[in-house]
Amino acid sequence: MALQLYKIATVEVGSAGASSIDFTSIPQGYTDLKLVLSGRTNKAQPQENIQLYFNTSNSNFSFKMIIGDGSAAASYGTSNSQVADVPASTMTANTFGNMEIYIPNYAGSNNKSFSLDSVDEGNQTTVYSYLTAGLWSQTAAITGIKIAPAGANNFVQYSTAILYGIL
Amino acid sequence: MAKTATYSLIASTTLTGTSAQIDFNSIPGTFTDLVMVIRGVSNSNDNIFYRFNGSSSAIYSRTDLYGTGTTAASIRATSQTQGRLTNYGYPSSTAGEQNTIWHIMDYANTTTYKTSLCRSNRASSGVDAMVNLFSSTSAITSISLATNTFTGTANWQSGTTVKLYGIQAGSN
Repeated sequence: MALQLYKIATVEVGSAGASSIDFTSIPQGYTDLKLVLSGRTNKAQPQENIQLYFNTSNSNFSFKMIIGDGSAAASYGTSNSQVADVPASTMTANTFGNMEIYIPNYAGSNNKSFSLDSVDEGNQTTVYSYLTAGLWSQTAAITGIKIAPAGANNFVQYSTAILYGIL
Repeated sequence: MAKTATYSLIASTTLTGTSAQIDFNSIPGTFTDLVMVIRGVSNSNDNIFYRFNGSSSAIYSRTDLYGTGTTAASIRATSQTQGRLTNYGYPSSTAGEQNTIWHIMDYANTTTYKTSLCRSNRASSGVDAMVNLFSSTSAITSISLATNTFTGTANWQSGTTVKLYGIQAGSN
């Protein structure tokens, strides 16, 4: 049986850093998309939020999430597309956070519900993990995905994102 | 060089009308794990239930970690006659609002009970992270999905899509 999981593109951040990671001109021939990030930013804090864009827009998103911080679990809802954390410059060195987004039927004409997980692990007391239900209330096909540090900061070298297409 | 693991589509369904139940039969036992991706549309905020191999025995149990946007909590159910994949991440009557991604590990073995992990997402109602157990050593050869319950009146609605993938472990 044929392989049905395809790597569409990989972005590896170089020594200069990057203010965002962009996937453009996403092929429309798959049924689902999966985006995996290993990331860290240069913000002078332990963590930094990641802002999500579909087709260059960070509007029309809604989310509900479960958050664990090592001592308690809580749940929040938001329309702000700053929905994940990665470690930043004061977090344990050499530690990168992970984020995974699964988007079923990204090329369809309905609104786009998706699943998002993220963690910002490090050797300190408070770190965060997120289990998130996401909705982009737009009927347009998703042709581009952008992820960026929420502040005016950069992903640091060795941050990597891979976009997969699933048939 | 190690052989690349495969992620293969076994079967898919897209409903153009209503259906009381969605069935995947004669699932080949040649993969290591299964993954099911559901974009559900229901009559009215109905939960997703499942049965393996058509079994209605009271051998299903589950733990749900859920978030509603204001509350994070966990609930447990045992000795159920059907498994369950949603609690707050349920499908509504609007297409495109909901998804469920379900991993069924070592489904074809005939030695152990079958554990599965599930995420159900609907941003307007909540998120579920569920563990389900099917207390049977039988290999899973069929999966049936219902909304509400298998004895209820709710139906899957047009626009529902379900895809079943097989995961094949890589080898040397």
